Amino acid sequence: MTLPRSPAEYYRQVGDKLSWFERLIDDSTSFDERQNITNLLLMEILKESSQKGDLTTHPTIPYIKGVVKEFDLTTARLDPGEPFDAVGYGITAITDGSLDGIIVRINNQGSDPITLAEVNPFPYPPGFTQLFLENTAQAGKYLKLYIGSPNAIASIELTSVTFAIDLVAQTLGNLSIDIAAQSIENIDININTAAIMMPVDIQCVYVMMPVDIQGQYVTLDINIKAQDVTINMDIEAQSVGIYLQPEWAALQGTDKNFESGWTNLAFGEYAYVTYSVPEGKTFYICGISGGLRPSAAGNAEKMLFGTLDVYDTGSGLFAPHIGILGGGSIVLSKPKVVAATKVVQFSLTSYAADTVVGNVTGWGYEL
Amino acid sequence: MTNGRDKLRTGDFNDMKQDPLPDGSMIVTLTSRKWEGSERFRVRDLYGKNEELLDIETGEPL
Repeated sequence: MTLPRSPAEYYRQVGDKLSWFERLIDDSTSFDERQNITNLLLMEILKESSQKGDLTTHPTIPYIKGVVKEFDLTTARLDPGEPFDAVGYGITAITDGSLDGIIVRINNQGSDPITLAEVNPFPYPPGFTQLFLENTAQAGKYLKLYIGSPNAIASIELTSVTFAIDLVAQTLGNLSIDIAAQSIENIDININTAAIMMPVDIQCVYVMMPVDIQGQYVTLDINIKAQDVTINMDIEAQSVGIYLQPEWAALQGTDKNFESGWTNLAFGEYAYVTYSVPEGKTFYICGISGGLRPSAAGNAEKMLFGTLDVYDTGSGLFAPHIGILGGGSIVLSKPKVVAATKVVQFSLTSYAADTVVGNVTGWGYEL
Repeated sequence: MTNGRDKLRTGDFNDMKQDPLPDGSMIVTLTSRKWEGSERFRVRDLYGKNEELLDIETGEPL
């Protein structure tokens, strides 16, 4: 009997089942109405169940015990592959060689090739009973195929790994590599691109990093903090600039220069220029210079003694402190460091007998 | 604050000249290779407790 698919079909089938007596007395109406109530109730139940998805059926995948099949890759297996019996729903490939060139076909030789280098593990819920293996020759290498349930993929323990990553991309926004290893023998990085920014942060006990850069324009910022550093540099270039920090600051525009000129300085009076280091900055003083000039032509032959001082409220020291005759300058062998919010003053004190004109300058850089 | 004094506070300059005036105030002139022109203002007791801005831009008295 075919089940009715609609109410009209139901009524037709019920009508077909009426006896001649029921048709004669036309007493089937009440019976039909009672059946109709039951029918509507059943249809509502079916409708709700269907909407909830309760009626969806899933294929049943039995659990099977996984097996491992091992193959020697020394000899190539050619297209369409060597058949072997295998019942399962998923494949995990493990090799001490390379998965490149290893292809599996499912159930028949004409099926689509599964490239294990691209898909591993490979779940196949419909299941298979036979596989066809194709591989390139890899002398002395093995391939193990774990074959089992699709949700029982074998875990792969990596004891010896060779990574070969070849990225060909129009744009590669970010590539973060975090390697924590007891020892890494070799990392070859060969990048061929129009422009590259590659911050490298290496923190380990011993670093040996040969760097071979061949580029039309190279900016190499190296910040090394180590107890012992050996730098061997072999640079072949049309022009090479190696800057000390003050020179680099001038190039980058973080240098600072101060100047002040005072007239009518009497004995013991001083010309000065003052600067307060901003919040978040550090000022590195590199030098000071100053000069005394007579205020009148008649004093030109007189000795114009003076001193140059750098004072800062951080150290509280007048250092350097140098005596001059007419003028002088000193470039510090190491910068004098002034911390943020501290005030520095470059000053020139006159010890001339007569009033003089005094000019004082100071310079450094700020980071 | 003036734009010049902002630049002085933040260190946004390369060169600073301080010209003392007879009344004890000074004209501060700032220049930079990162921006055009110069910033000038007149101030009394620069960085002191009684710092007082007397003039902006021209260096002339208010």
